[in-house]
Amino acid sequence: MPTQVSVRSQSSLSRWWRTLRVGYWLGWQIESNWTDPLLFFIYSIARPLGGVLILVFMYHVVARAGGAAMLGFFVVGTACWPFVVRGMMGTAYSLISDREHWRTLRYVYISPISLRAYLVGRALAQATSAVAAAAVTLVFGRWVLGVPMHLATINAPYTAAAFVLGIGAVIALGLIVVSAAVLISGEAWRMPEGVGAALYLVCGAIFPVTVLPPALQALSQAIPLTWWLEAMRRGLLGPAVVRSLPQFTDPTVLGFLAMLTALWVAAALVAFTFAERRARQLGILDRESMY
Amino acid sequence: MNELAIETRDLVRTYRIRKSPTNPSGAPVVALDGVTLDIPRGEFFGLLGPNGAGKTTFIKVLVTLLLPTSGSAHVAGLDVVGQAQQVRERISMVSGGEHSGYGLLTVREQLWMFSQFYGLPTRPALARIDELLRIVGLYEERSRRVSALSTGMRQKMNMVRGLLPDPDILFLDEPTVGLDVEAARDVRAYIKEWIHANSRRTILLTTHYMHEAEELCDRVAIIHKGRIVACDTPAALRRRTAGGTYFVLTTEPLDGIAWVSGVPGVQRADARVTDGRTELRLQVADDGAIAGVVKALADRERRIFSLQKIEPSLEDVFVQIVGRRLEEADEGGRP
Repeated sequence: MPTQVSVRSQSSLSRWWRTLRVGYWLGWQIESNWTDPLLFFIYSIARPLGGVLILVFMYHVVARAGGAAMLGFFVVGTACWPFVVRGMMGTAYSLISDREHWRTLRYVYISPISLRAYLVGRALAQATSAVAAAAVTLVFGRWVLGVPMHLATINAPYTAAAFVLGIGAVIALGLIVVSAAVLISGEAWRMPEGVGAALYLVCGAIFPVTVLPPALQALSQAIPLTWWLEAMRRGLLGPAVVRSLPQFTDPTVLGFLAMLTALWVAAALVAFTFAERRARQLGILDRESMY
Repeated sequence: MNELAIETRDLVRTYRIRKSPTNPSGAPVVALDGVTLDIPRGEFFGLLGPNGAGKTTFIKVLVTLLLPTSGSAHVAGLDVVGQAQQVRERISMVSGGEHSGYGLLTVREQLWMFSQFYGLPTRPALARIDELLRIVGLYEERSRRVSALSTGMRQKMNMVRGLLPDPDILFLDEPTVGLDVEAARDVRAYIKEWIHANSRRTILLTTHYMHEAEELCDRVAIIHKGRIVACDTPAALRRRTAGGTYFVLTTEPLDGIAWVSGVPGVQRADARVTDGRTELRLQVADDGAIAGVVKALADRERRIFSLQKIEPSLEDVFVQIVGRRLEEADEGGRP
């Protein structure tokens, strides 16, 4: 008979931290092991680089309105967007793939963990895989495309604060999407992609939100990602950038980002708690749709 | 400490389903219909029933995957609705016949990951993983990716996952489905040993296999259409088979057995065809009634290979209570 072991009784905080670490470890194993290194490189780095080049050439050829300020707008937006794709969509796909593909969700769920922490860990692993793509895009933008981004003009504390808040916002959005995904089955795979595409349109990822109709501008300003992208551009490029929110000062942009992130995190926790309970009520928490 | 490992009172669970040709009214399906059950600590308890009887729903409520519609359920003295997190610290579950597992991880990595969910320190956890892998015969495969395992190997790995946190209460939902005969025997032997090694451990087993329930369980409940229709020790349940004597008779192939029920004294007859022979399982009013069956077979020029008087089994109890064999009930069960 094997050694008897006892489950450690831990505080909520240590359980949360432990779960987050294991979720991160699993997420990274899945993220980095799914293919060979060459394909991983192409997917992680060449793909976003291709994205920025497509945008740059489109702008040069179609609009014929090139310029360093707009180029910087593109490059920072393209460098930051993989964090949204991987972090927000990754949170949702973690749950969907655990339920549908790995079929482990029921065992993860009935273990004494915080499911939120587990999903945040998985999302952070996905977000980590975006770091290399972001760095390469920025370096490429600076040295190949000539984006005016200099160490002397980068506001590092501002950028770091914006980055941390932005990741928080991305994960909050991910939890909101996952709250919906937990309640639907067949179309769950499509939903995160749809949400990602909508956010790409309204959050100022590739063009300033000032060009949107007023209603969409109002919607855009209610989403923390808009403020995050704006803050990242201001932090990395200083005044030499086209602005999505020209009427606001740098500290105000950061302040709105912090406030909206806090609101979205609170909303995400409420939404997830509701969705989890509802899924237990409906008996669909571990339902496999065979999609 | 609460002496009941599992306690349910009037537990009801219904599912809302859309209108369909099979359910034109769209009426809710009742999966559990007022289940009241007490399972003391230390008991190996079996739940028998056909597909759709409510076995898995019952387990899902107890392991906090599903909320009951009404009634109450307590596991280790804790309410599965209001104290779900505390319940999860004391339980584990293994379901059979599924392909769960992170295919990109190795067997050992996957098990280590689950050990971390339960807060086990890494070194003792790895030692325990290796010990359990040896017991189920999977140690040599510890560095293989989960995606490369056969169904049976995955099932063994999941059994290790279930036992890893050394839970107070282990839920086994058809745990030997998909295992070959030898592996199923090993698993049965191990869980028997596991529960007897510590008096605080309790197992709730659902199974299709009558012999599994008879071999393992201290008590067995038969669930049918969401209700517990019988609950007792296997021996006591067998004694309940009102009147009658049981025989197994093997003969040359028969075209049909409807005529057998017409033989005076025969209360019930079931047939199975194996190896080109028909095995008749007969419940007769008294020993003398079997003579009529033997004579009827002789009249039909069918050779008798063997005739044996047997003790009633759980299967006979099931047939008497539910009115059909388990396999027949499965075919007519809810999807």
